[in-house]
Amino acid sequence: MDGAPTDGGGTMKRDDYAPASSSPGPRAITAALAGNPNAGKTTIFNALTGAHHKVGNYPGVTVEKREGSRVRNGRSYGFIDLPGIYSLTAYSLDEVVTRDFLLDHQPDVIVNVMDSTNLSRHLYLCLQFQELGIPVVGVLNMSDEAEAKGIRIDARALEDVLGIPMVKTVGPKNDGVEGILDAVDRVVDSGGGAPGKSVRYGDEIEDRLAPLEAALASDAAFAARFPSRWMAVKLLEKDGHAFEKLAGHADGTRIAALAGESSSWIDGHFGKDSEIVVSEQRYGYIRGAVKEAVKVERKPDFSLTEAIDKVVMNRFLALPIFIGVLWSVFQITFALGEHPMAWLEGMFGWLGGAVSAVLPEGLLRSLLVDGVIGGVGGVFSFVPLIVILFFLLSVLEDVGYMSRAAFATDKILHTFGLHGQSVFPMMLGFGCSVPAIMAARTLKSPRDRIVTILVIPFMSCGAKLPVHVLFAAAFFPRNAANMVMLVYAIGVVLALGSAWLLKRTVLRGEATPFVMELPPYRAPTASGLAWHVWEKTKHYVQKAGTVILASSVLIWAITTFPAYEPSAAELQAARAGFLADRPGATEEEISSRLETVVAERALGHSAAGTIGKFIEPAFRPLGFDWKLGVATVTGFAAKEVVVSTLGVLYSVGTEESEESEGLREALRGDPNWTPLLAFAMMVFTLVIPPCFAALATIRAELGWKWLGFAFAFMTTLGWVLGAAIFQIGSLAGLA
Amino acid sequence: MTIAMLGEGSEFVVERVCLCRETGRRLSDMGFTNGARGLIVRRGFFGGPIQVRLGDCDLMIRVSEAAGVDVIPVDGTVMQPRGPFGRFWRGGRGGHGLGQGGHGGRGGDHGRGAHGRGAHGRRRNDEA
Repeated sequence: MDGAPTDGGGTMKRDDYAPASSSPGPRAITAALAGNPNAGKTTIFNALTGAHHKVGNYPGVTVEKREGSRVRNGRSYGFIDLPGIYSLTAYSLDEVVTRDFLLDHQPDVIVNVMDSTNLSRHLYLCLQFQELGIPVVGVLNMSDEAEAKGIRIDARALEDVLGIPMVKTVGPKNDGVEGILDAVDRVVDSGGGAPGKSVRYGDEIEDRLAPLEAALASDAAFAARFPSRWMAVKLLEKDGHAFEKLAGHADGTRIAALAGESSSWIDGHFGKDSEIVVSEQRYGYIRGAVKEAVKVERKPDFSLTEAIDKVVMNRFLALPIFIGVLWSVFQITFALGEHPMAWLEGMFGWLGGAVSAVLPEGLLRSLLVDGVIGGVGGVFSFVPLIVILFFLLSVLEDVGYMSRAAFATDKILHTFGLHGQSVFPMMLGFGCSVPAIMAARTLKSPRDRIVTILVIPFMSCGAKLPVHVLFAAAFFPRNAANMVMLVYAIGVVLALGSAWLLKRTVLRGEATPFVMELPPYRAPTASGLAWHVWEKTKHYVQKAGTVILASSVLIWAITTFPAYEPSAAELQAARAGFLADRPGATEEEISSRLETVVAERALGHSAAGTIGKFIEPAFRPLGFDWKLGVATVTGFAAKEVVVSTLGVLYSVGTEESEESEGLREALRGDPNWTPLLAFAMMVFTLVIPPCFAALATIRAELGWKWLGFAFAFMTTLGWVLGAAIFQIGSLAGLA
Repeated sequence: MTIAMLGEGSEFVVERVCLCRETGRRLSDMGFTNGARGLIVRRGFFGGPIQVRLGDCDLMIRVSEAAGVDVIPVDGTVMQPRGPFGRFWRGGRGGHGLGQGGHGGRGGDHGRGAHGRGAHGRRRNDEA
């Protein structure tokens, strides 16, 4: 799921997809798999290609591109899975990607997967593909469900009416999948050819289309690239991208003027927008075709989906049920993930020990054990949690619950400028920002996606919890749990408030329509689930693993160099000081104490310490000293590192956790620390930019510009809030 | 009359989509086109989205979008939702004086399953 193009950034050539043409036998075929969302396209793709696929992105955009291949009877087939779309307009990124791909690469055939239970809407897209002049094979998927609903589709009749070969399939059972390949063979071997039929839009519109088509066809090179019929329809629909393409036509200016006149005439004649008129005519044509080929014999009285929705989408229960589902997902994730996580931690601990035993003490050992194994092990031990979390979320998605969740939450989220579909990415943010930011891909509108990604880090992630627990337990012992809850609540309020602000400033624009399909509940397929989980986990490991490795080494370096070597006199002084405090200390206690003192001084002496001291003046309005500056810097590796850094700086040992009383005592004993400062630090940690892994994910999804914006926005907000809490609290005498 | 003004269980025939640009186009792409028959399945809490059944497909739209789809009520009494949360249901286009919805057009479709709720569903009358 790279944000950067995976095709080397270059333009894709058709040859990139075409199977080896040098092989003997029938001509290789490139097929684009397309269709509406929820049509079972993924299942058909998996059935067609088996395990032979790879995932990348379309160049320059974060829209997933999956490719697969298959060899049958000596013929090789290359499949490209296009994004699920409802129409070929230029409003959403998915639609633009699909049409650009089809126009630029002209696959041999488009395999259009459709849901037989909802044929009219799926044919709407199918007929737009037909207009592109690329041969289409229609796949009537879920034909068993349609039969059960009493919907009898006469595939042959539909084929005759529309001029598109139709194949009935049942994706999860692999029924009819070979038939798709047979139909593809037939279409390609018959020369592909331009389909003889296409939508008729009625005399008034056809009279406007004809001169446009003729004018467009006058430039042969242009017409070879952009089919004249399709282009003429798009121009009548006032499609901005189509008008842009006209720049490449020899007679572009005149055609643009003619198209403008024609669409204005349609607007006036029909009394509505030409876009809507074209869409209505297309649906009218489909109604005619469906009347010929589809018979509805009976409809069952009982619908399981309706029965479940009566409860799940009940006006009063929808939101509590959603919260319950979410709570269960987190409970199950942590309950099941606890043990494998502990095993992995143990394994990395053992590995660190083994390396320590083999290597002599020194920089290399320190780098490998503390930097590489410690840092990367920390991330890898999260993998079981990520696998379980993604599995459960994929189940919810495949079953059809996600759109119900959007129904339940859209009203609240929309008030703040977010979308119902933002809810799952945001909730994932309570676990880990990395998968949460990746999950925001389900949002189709770029502005909704950007705003969701920008506010996800405010949802306090699992790694920030130890920091909150440490300060809450140390300074608010009687209300520790409430304080932690308060910080979480502040995070949610900040996320909603920031979304509201961003949607009214930098991300202002027309509200994105909330027209979502509510698919019937369906049992998820094992192959679909396995695929989702594998892909997402792989990307998590790749993304977070590489960034964490780099940042772990970086943080190790700035906390290690310049190296600090205590002199014998310093050690002697430290020993004497400790013995003065604890006259009866054993030799073991003394050496442990000396180790801690050395670690503390080494950190103060290191680059991180220098940075901490350098930025101290900027932190003074927040009441922070250089130690908190250092902890903030090391926290970019992972937020829980703030706790262990403070453990070192407060000389209580290098293995501190939020549970250890020693660090709490040390913090309480420091005269600088007050409950007010602790609260300011909790809020500051919550709001400032997230760890490197999350920042790298933001960059991958949105690019450097938005990463820069997010960093500046969160740093400023964190500083302002921290300073406001500390200063106002001090004035109010809370310090 | 717009979809936003209809209560749960109401049936309608789409007359026209009065929204322009992306929203209007999206709605017509999804099947909100002249002559399409639909049913209000349910309305969300506190003016949340509306679940609309168009043919065999269930869709969710926001009240603000529903207020941009002109429809002709098909059957039974079109009602202004009442009850403790009724006032939160109103669409963007007001929502007053809705008692006059067409009583005619009792089409033959009503015996047919998914739309069958229309005949004896949970429709509340506006006579109250």
